[in-house]
Amino acid sequence: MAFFPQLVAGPIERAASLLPQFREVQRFDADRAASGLRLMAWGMFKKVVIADRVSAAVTHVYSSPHDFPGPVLALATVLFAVQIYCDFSGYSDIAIGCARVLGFTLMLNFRQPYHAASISEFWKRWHISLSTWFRDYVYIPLGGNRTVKWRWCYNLFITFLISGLWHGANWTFVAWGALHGIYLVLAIVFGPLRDRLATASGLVRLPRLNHLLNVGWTLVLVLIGWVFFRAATIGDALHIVKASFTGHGAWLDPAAAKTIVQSLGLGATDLAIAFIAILFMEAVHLVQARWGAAAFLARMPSVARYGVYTALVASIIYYGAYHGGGEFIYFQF
Amino acid sequence: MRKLIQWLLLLALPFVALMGGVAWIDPFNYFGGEGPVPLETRKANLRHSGAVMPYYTLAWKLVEYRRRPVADIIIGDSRLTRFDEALVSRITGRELYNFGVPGGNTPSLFKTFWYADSLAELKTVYLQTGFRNWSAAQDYDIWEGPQWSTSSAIHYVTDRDVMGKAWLDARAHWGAVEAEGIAADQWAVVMRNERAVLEGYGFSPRFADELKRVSERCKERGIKLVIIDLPVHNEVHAIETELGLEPAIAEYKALMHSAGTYYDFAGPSSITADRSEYIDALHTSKELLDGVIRELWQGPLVNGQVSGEPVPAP
Repeated sequence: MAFFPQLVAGPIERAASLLPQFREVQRFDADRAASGLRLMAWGMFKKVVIADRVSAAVTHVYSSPHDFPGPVLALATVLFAVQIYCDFSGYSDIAIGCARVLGFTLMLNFRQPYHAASISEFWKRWHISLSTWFRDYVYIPLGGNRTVKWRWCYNLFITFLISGLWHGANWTFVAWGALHGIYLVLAIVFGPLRDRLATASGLVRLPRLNHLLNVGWTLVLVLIGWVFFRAATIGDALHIVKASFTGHGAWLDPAAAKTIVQSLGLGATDLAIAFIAILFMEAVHLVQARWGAAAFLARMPSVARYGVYTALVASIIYYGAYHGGGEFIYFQF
Repeated sequence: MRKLIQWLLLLALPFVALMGGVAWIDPFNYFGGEGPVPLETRKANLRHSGAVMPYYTLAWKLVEYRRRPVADIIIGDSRLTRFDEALVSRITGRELYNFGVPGGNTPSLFKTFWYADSLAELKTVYLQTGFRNWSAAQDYDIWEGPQWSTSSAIHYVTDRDVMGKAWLDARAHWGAVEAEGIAADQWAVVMRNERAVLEGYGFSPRFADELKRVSERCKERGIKLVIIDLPVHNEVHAIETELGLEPAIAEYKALMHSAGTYYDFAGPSSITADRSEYIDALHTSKELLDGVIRELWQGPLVNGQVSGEPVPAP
């Protein structure tokens, strides 16, 4: 309980991994501390520059969803996806980094989840410590996938239903969990058909396009799930999902598009900062996936590395959204 | 270990220098020292441009009021920019603090009230407002930024907007900056904006509830609450009539009457017709505003369409 870095919101560490580390004598390691501080700074960036900035727009729209047209609702949902990722993965990075400074190793909790090409892959990348916990303590004891197909589907659905309920005693969370359970069951049932369609349409011969389409499709499904996660009631969520697929012709008219963006309630400066910060984060994700951030930074000349760190700290100090909230979303769960 | 500390110190160096620079210039007079930039320059820069005016003015006033709270305050929007509180003080013999902020709206009116109430034993609160400010669409925020940045020294020296103001003050003192003046088409711009505001008018029950809370607080603490509607040019009234807003205006005025002593100079009268008395349709000249002050605080009331009892000189 006294191990503060991951006390409040994870990563949910297993005793087998954490307890032996408590028994070891931890000696200060400057390189490890530097690496931990770097990760903490990156987590802070995601939290205060991106998540806290876009949260104002999400709250503005989701507090009265019936007042906004479809494109605004869709945009707010995309921003919520960004917010919850940056908020929670930001916290996880701070916790992991903080533990690393103290000499402890915590498990990775997020691995670019929105780059997943299927829902099952999404759950291997999102809140990994919780999804593996549910796998080991709910799904496998239920029988896992080493059973008949209907029972396998049942086990998956029940696991995700419980996962939804774990997030809170609200029907919206139950619906969110159930929805992900349904996605996975449908993937099992219609998987062979999907493969045949991909072969027949020739998509299998274009693996990159096929992958891109799968990532896009998965993202849409995840976004629909987030609507239920964020909305105040099931009624609001159903309205948002339905309306979000309408009125997108307005994007073609510059004046109407401007009105849509302005309806988010964020000033032009905040929008610009959020947009640039999200692009930067995606660039970092690409670097992480291809070379690894630490290796990439280590190859840089000292002056350039100093510039990167200075820019990162400056953006946290001067471009963080410090007023109007800032609680970590996952502290409530 | 030593290498890491050296790295961290090197990393901290530019930020410490920036923070030191902001504290030295002290753009909103938070620390209250002399500083290299004269107070007049720092004050003049509050009105550098329309974009920065709300933040800068509010930040300055929050700091100034916290340093020396006053029992009588007037809270409002840009229409108080030319309001001569010294004239009121000369008439009444009591100090009045002018909390007028360009871009001020109904939420900022309430937040300023609660802020002042937390710092002083208020005696008289004048709320300067207007029908347009009570539209639900006017629910934007100008308060959080200045409030946050002036709430502690560490916020103050690390805030981006405070740093921007420090940079502006430095340029004004050691170089030159040109303030954004009143645009040649100011009248037309304001009229376009007013039409948009009035076309989108929708009464805000939230504002009404908050006014009730303020009114109850004033009754509870024995604070005199006075609501002042400053003159608005007839061209705005013409839009209100065109849009059929008379019932909404009547509802608004009833709400004001229910909250405190209400003085209505806004409705069409002899002082709302002459364009030469106005900078634009919402902002009166200083002369007209001085006249309103004399009528309100000295009486007898001769020009305004005034309802309720005149404010006795305290």
